[in-house]
Amino acid sequence: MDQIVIVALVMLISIIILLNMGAPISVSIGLGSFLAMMFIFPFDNATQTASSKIFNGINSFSLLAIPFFILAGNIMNSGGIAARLVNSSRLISGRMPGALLQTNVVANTMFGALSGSGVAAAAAIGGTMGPLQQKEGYDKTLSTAVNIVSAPTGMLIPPSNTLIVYATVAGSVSVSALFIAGYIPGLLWSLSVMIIAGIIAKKKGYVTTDKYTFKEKMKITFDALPSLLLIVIVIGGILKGVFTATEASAIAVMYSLLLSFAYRSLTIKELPAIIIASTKMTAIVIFMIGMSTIMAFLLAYTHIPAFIASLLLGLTDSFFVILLIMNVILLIIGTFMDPTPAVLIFTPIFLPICLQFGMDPVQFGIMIVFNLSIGTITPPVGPILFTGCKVGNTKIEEVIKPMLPFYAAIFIVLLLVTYIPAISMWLPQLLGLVS
Amino acid sequence: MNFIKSKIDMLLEVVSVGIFSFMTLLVSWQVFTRYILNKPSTQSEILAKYLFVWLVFLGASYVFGKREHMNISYLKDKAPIGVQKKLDVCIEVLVLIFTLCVLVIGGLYLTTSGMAQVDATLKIPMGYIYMVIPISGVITIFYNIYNILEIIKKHYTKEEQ
Repeated sequence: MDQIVIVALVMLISIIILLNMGAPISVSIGLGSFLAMMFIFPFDNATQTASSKIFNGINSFSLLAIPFFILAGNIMNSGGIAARLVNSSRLISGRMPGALLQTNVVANTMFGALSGSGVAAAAAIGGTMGPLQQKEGYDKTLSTAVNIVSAPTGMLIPPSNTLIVYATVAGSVSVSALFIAGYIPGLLWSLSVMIIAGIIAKKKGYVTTDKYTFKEKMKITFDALPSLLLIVIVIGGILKGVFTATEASAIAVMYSLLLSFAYRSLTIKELPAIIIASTKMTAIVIFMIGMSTIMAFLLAYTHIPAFIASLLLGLTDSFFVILLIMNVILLIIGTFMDPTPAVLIFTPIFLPICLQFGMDPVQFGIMIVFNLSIGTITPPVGPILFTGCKVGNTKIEEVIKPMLPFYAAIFIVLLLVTYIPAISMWLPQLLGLVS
Repeated sequence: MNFIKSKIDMLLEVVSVGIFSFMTLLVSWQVFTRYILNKPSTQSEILAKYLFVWLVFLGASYVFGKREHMNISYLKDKAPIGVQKKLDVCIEVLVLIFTLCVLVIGGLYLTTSGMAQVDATLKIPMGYIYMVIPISGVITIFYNIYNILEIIKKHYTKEEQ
């Protein structure tokens, strides 16, 4: 057998075995690649190469945005921001059919625009909305379902750590372009959930007519304004070229700290625990990125992407069908793997094929992150699904049925994002971020 | 062993909080110097980047100690308890082997050869930056051994019940 084939097989098979054993994803990728590497280099050389690949994968200023956005998100979670967002969302959606369901979606979307963590959104917003929804007699499983299906939008709406990870593995893709490209697909996701929720609510006869006096409206808006100002500072700053995404993320930490101290929702004493929790989340994600650099090196060495491309092209020469196959594979992978490792593994395999067909790497990034975000709300492994059920006090089996129409709607949006480049590209093109 | 583990945990916690806070200040400071003082600081960016590398490696060791690295436990969770324990020991051993080869041995090579390389901006040998790789490797191996002993201990007490 050809040496390259042996290397490729050793790597793929050992990674698959290690992953299924339940070994850490980072070590599965790293050890599998290291084993394969020993077929190419002598032992000494392999250890050193692997070690320096990991170092180079981590040694990046743009990745530094990830710990800062994580920390800013954790600081905001501990603060009274969720309640303020819910109030202002109610102002927007208080008169739609199924007002409290709609409010949940809007609040999750806003929360996503602040922190980018779907799990945090499901916990914080779901926790605040749940009691309100129950008081007004909303079906518990339905409201839990709506909370779950609208929580992942934060992974598309900037700031999004998954998009930063994608930008790193994809090579020369601008984080600002990706951030801006995520807005419309993320909002479409929310919109599709709101439409379905509205139809169901109308059938069930959930009509709430919130009435606010002008004074109340002003107060609610002013309460939420400082939190929402963060979006303007971060995204505006990046767009205007005032600072890089990494610098913006550090400013986001400072701003959210100031806000939490002003709201008195956080004391200096609680800060170390929050920083340690953020360190752990950072280390888990970034260590995985380091490991995937060894794998990326071997993928290039063994020409696996080219091999898979020729396999796909042997099946069909229609890009339409190839994209469909990729999406189905990613959807299946996403049901049991988190978006970050899946992005790390599948970007180097699928992206070159799509580039051959002239797809923009920005659109591909939005497509893959959108697709894999669906996996966070599907069994058997779905962190947002689990969190949402825990917060909503509902069993997973009960919540799946009301979630079905939402899955369908989100899948349709995924197809739109896949086949209509303008949905992702229009906004960044308009702002001159991509040519 | 428990005593040493809690001391190492504490040390890593203190160091992480220190590095994380310093990094945040450094990058914020960078924006400040560029716009307010009109003096862009190139050193702060490089320094923040290296601090980040240290934070990630030390943080990764800390998480190995807590056995909280992200994994796919779907199949493992379905196995009987006895098999799960054996798998857990097996995983710790595999992590140990990987850490020994890549982080400790490979990292030591990098560190020693890096002493001759000098970072152009900070004017310090790269070896000092690479040093975190073998350090985190040794800490991780300690945690692996600790975890294996803990898993075996639990194994027996469960069976006695």
